[in-house]
Amino acid sequence: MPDRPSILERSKKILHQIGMNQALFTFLLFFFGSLLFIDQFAISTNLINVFRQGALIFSFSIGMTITMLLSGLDLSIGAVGSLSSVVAATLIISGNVFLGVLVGLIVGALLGLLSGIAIARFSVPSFIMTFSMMKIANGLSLEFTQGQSIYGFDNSFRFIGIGYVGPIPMPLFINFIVLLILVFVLKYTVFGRSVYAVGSNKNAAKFSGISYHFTIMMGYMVSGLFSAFAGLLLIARLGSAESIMGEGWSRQAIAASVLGGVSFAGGKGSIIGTAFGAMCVAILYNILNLLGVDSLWQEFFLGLIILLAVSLDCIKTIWMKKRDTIRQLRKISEEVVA
Amino acid sequence: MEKPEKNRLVKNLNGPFIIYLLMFAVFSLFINNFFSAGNLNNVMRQAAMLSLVAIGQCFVILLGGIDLSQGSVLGLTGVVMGILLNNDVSLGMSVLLSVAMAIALGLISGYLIAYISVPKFVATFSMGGIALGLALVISDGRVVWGFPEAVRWLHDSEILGLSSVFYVIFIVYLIAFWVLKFTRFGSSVYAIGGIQASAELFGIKTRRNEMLCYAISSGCAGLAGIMAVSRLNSARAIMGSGYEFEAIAAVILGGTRRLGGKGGALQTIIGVLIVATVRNGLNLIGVSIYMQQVVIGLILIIVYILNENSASIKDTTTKLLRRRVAHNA
Repeated sequence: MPDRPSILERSKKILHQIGMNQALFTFLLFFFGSLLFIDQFAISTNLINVFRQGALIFSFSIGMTITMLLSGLDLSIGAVGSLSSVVAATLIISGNVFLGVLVGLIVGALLGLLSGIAIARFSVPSFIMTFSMMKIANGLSLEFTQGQSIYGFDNSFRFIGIGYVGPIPMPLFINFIVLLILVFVLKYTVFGRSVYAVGSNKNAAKFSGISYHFTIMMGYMVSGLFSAFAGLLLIARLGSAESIMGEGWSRQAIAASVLGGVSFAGGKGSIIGTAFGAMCVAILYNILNLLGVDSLWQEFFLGLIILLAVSLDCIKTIWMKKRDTIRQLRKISEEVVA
Repeated sequence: MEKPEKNRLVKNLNGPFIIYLLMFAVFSLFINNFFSAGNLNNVMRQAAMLSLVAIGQCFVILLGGIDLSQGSVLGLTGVVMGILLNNDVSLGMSVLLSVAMAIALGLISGYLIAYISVPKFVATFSMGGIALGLALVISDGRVVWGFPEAVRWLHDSEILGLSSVFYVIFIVYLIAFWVLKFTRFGSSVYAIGGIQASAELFGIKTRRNEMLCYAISSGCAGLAGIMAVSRLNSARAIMGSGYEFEAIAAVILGGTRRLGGKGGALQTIIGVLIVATVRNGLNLIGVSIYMQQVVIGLILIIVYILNENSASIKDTTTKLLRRRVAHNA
């Protein structure tokens, strides 16, 4: 059949539709690069470790991605995650596993909702609001724990972090389900579509009848909720909760989202891309570890990668704008000549 | 009949200044030991480093930006200066080199923000990560110490009974005041903060000036880093963490805001005094350092909301009042 497009073309189209070709490319580059050049990387225990780490990074990058899609960002994910997990931890060690998890998630969602209200209703810039929220949540959790760590969880709770479903580690399994749900929500529900609409053009969204305040508030609430979720996964894995464990999450989440092709301009990117980006960050950490690089360098490399990725993205945008203008001018001149 | 316009300087200072005086009065009445020479001296000393960081942040906030890298740059400058000193570089030279490095970092993030339109919080936030990482690596995560005597002299020496730190701050603020009020660069900063596109149409070199503002912000953080080293006689990578937050709080509490070109050096010094006094007062009544952070964060958000929405709040209140008057009549 000559008129059917080839498999390559079709798969290219599908990839493009999902909007993750850049993310997938980056991931494959990272993955096969480290497979080729680093010996210990391909060992199965190491690979499982990488995936487990990637799952954790993905879980706290969700909030960052959704707020970035809304053309903001959430710097408070680490602090909110730690605060809600120390609150949850105190309830869990007193025996109420279910209640603890529930309260932890509610605390996270509430804090997110608070920043959402300030950002949507009172038009506080997202970086000022979430930065202050980070300090507030950080102060509260330090006050709550007095700098001590909380440990001694029930095994039924720790199963979330260290258990296995068949051969697959539990966190990976849970995050995969979360990923599927989020893909569905962002693609096929009213909330998901309005996130993209509000992020790409606030005024157009307003005029087409999308509840702009509500979408932003919900976006930040979801971000807080998933920060709490990530905190719970982490304490279940480590077996202890600390108020400073979320330090550095926001940088890692920004790196994961940016590598996954989510743009700071808003409305561009996908959650699948973020999943690949999170894997890239996990691989980066793993490589640095395997190469014996001092862990002090991690922060440096992370910052550098974010700067490089965002700058490249911005340069690309500028370049494309220039190209479009040149094309338009050429068209006009051709018309004039004709 | 229209009222004659009040002196603009007084008008802009009014709110925060009155709040500061009220707070000062309340604290002196209700908190023991607050109104004593020793304690007030303490407040001043706490405010010293913050005031330097805050004046840099003020330039950036006037532009409608934010500099999240200041704390890390402060730490990196201190560590670099310490390591230079320990390698027998002269004091003046090491101060110069480390401040130059801070300014260079600011120029890099400013370049990315102004010319490549990288979002400002991403550029400064990841620059903060890079600076923190570098500081940790070159100091090996340890405290750098064992400097020559001259370092402490920077902080301890007194001129006419006042610590030399005071003079440094005075000069920096004088320069900042002059630059913001009376130079072309200063007025363009206010203009860019208003509407960037129209500022550009008026022939202001918006990109260059924006880049310079981030360099100034970083340089001020560097100066504060040197002050920290001379005060503590040691340097640590994380010694600046949290300063950027207090600086943002100070600038916003002082009444500086982006739209309408409000604020400047005088407002910032009042904001710094407010933050330092709040901290001190909370300290004296025994609030823990963690809760202080929470309180300052809450105040910051509330004041920001009030500041930015003050026009609409005023509108609504006048509307309500008018309706009431009409109703009564």
